[in-house]
Amino acid sequence: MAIYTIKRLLAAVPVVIGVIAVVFILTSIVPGDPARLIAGKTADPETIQRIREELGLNRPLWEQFTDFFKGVLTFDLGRSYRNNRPVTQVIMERLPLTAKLAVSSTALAVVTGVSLGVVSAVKKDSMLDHGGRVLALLGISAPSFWIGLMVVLLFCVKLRWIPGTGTGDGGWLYLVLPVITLGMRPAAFITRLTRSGMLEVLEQDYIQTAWAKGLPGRAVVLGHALKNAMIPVATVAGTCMAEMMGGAIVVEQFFSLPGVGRLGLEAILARDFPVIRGQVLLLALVFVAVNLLVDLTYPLFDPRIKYGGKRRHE
Amino acid sequence: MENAWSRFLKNKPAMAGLFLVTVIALAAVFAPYITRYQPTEQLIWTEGSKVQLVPPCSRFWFGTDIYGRDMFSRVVYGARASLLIGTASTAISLLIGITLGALAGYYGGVVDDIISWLANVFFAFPFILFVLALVAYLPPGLPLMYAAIGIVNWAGVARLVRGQVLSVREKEYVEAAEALGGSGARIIIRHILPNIMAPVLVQATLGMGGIIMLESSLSFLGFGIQPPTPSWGYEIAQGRQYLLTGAWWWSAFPGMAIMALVMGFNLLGDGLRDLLDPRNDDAYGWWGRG
Repeated sequence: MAIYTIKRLLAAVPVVIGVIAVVFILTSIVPGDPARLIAGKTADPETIQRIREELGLNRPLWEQFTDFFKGVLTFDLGRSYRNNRPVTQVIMERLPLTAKLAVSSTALAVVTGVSLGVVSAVKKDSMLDHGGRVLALLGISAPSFWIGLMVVLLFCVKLRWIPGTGTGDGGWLYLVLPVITLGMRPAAFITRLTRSGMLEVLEQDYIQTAWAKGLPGRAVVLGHALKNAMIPVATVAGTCMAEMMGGAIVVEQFFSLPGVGRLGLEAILARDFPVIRGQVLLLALVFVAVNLLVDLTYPLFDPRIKYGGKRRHE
Repeated sequence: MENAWSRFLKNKPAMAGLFLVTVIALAAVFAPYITRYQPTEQLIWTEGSKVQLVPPCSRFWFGTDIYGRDMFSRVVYGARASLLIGTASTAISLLIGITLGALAGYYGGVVDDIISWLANVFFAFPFILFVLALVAYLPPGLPLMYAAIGIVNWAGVARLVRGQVLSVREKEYVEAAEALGGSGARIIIRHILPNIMAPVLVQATLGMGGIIMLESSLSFLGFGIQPPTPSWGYEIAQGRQYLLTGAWWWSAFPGMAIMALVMGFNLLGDGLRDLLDPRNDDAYGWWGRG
């Protein structure tokens, strides 16, 4: 397992270097001079030139890239153009909220998706199954911001149960609607995936044997069948969480939550390239880490999968 | 093939998907003939005031917005933007993805290593941030938006095509073509691609939903199609401000239109998969990157 993990981490190095190179090239070639933006519209050419020199923008691109790369290795991602604060600090301030949002939404998606999927598969072709499939179809087809609108309309306007947007005192109540909004689509997707996986597993011989042995329904469905239908669910849950860490821009913007996604949007609008580079790098690392973690959970669901050793039951 | 077609006709969800996509596409094409007003026309009552925020009624089926524009017209014309971006971006991602995926799968070695590395880099990229940055920094215009979204989606297509090419490149008919002295490009285009297009078509159809959703998200954030041209995402963003005052129709109908079109492509893609690629029955395509 340890050797496999090290191999995977080493394999991720070229990918992360590629991400660093692509984001650096992209942010370097876009039109518009950050020095001019920082200096303001009325600034004279000398001031703009001085800022360019301070930021190192007058140096050759290759030198800038080497410096940036060295900085990455020492966790120094430079300073934000907007407020001159260290990029790592700016991102780390915003990260906990987004992480809380992504983890909660993924947990919600897995719990609801797996439950609905199991019920749908066990009660195949019943009203419950049809209802579950229609819900999954609707959930997959609706854009997150529209789901957000509908939940705000229901819970804030009609029922008046939960406050609408913002973080308030930082309590969990303010995260309820964003979590529902963000978790709805993955939940629908996991429902569908669990249902199709369960239907396949339930037809296997060993499940028939378990029934024939007279095991209780719960033991057969949850103990024997579900475990084997969980690998694709784990993969998708991991991908969803990694994407939410970077892709919750719309939901964060919608609910006015100061997370990493919104920071990215603000940085793009302000041409704050160091922050954009730092954020892309961080999210690429999260993506690599989450994928690795998901792979490492596979043996929990299927003992035949064993990293760094011989395969069992082949 | 006849058997396959009759199976498709019997697949109710797939037919429902085909129906939804066809109806919306026809509405987009014949928009001037089925709408009563121009989508940008600010309507005025006879006494001179604007036809503002009128709820759905027999005259304005989807109500009107704060500027006095007919929402039915805006929703129908908005379908043009979604379908155009969905089709154009899918075409771009297919062009890049099929080319690079086929090269990687056929030639292997260093070519495969470089292309696979590039695909992995794109997978690890936070894609919405990438598209937002491209759309924000490139000069405004639809073709650049198609390209930005298409560029993001190529990696998935390339990975699929590479796998498919790997599975057919050792087949006897490919070996025969090589023995006859066919060039690499000719073998890929004439012999390999026609035999691997079924799963690509399925992924492209399923991916359309994701792209349409991505375009609506961009428009919602104000980065997509620029007003006054109607776009579903932008309408939802605008209508959101009036939701609390009770004008639900401004956001609700464009949202339902997005759902209907995305659902149509998802159902259609599923049906095509049952028809063309029955071995691969996972549901990953629905997730897309949208």
